[in-house]
Parts: sequence; structure tokens; C-alpha cells
Amino acid sequence: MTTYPTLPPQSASFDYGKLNVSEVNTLGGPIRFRHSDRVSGNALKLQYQGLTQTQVEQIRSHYFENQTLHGYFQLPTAVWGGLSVVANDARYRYTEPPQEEHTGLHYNLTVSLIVIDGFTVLYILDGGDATVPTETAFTSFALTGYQPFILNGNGADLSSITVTHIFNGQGA
Amino acid sequence: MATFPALKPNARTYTPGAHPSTAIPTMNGNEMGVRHNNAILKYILGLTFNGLTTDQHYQLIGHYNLHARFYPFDIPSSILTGSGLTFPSTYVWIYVGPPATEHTPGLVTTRVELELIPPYTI
Repeated sequence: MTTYPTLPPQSASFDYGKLNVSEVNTLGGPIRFRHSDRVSGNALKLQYQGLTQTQVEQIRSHYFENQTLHGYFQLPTAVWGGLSVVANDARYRYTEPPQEEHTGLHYNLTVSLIVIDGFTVLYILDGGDATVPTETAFTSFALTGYQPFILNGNGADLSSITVTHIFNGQGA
Repeated sequence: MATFPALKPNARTYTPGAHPSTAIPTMNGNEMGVRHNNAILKYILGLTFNGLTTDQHYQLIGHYNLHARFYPFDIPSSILTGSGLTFPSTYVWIYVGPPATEHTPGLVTTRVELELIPPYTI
């Protein structure tokens, strides 16, 4: 797989892609199926102005090295200019040949890409380390003592109950 | 086959060709690509000529009239000066369509679009 030249564009336009969902109409209303955890299909248009001949030839070479519209490649993060729209290891494809404008000394260029493998929608809850906070004095109408109040549960086996909770009610 | 007139364009547009290929999407968002040919087709070169003399304009129109979108031809190096463009050898050019000319008093501007194609015999 090739990598696109590290040439940040002067401007870029893009959409946010889509989840891979299909919809089937039934008599009871439409039913939707999600076929993967990925968001892909983002259309990305990069616009360059005032490129030098060396720079425009980098993109020409990459286009042909990539077998024109056929192959897939990766995009350096610098091209996104710090935006975090797709994953860094996403795969891209040219949707049409780059359009060049020759203005004399410099070149303007428009490149149209599509994202084939974008973000994976997978959320992981990470609670971090369960550190017991420092004890501090605590008073309320219902409980008196030192916080935190920790309930230590055990295995759900009625024959080996190892925790007994005593509620010591006092004068209300 | 007469070579395209040796005039220097004032501006150019260039669109490289592409392999004939088909991207077949799958339901999970991935793609399968099928390339149908080793050739790269449909290179398009747009040329704009500003301030042509009557003779120069006649050279362009005359060349089109003799070739149209049928007879292929070569282009002289002056057309590509400074562009760094290279093309597959033996390929030839044909017109995409007729040249478009704009006449204003004392100024003739003509735009021509050419397409690069694999060689063929008439």
C-alpha cells in the first residue's frame, strides 16, 4: 500500500461518512441492519494552490504508482492539518483523476478521495484504578461515621455468607 | 496526420487518465476493486490561447476541420513547455470537441480540449 505525499492542502472539504447500514421495508415499518462497526465512505476534496512543479509531480507520481483510481493508500496526518475526522490508519482511494490548472509558474490542483476504512465505532469503558479515597469525617441524619461507606460483596452463594450488615438505628 | 499547430498556450488544464476499473462495495463498507485493463485512458488536456492573430486562429480552426474527433494527431513540444508532463509513447491525440472561440474587439481567445488515446489505424 502506498502513502500519499505529505502536502497539506490550502483548503479541504469533507463529510463525515456513514455507518454501513441497510434498511428493509416491511409491513410493520422499516427495519435497519448494521453490517459493521465502521464509519466509512467519507468524501474528501483537497484543494491546492500555487504548487511548484516538484510538488505537483509528487502527486502525479503517486496517482500513477497507485494504479490511478484502482489502488488504496494511506494519508499522512499532516494532510488533515490536525483534524481528527478519521482514524490515522484509514485507507483511501482516488474517486476521480486529479484536476490540474497550469497558470504559468505555478499549479492549482484539486484531488478527490474517498475513505474506505475509517473510524471503528467501538467504545471501551475504562474505570482506571479503584483507589480508595482518603477518609474524611461525615455526618448525616441517617449515617454517622467516616466516609467512604464501602459495601464489600462476596460470591453469590447462600451457603457461604461471609458478610453481615448490621444496621444500628439510633434515636431519630 | 498533421501535427497540432506549434502555438504556446496561455493556460492549460490537465486531467490524467485512469485504468478502467470497477470498485465493488460490500455491505460492511469495504470494497473489492477489479482492474479491467493495463492501459490508462482518457487523459484530457485543455489549452487556452489568448490574443491570437487571425492567422494563428485560422491554424487552429483549420487543424480541427481536417481532424475533428476522428483523425488522430501529435502535438508539438511547445504545447507542453514547462509542464513536466509525459505520456505513454505511441499514444495519439484527438479532439474532445470543436474549439470554442470568443471574439472581442482586437482580441481572439480560443479554447481547445484534446484527449489522448491508444493508437489506432484508420
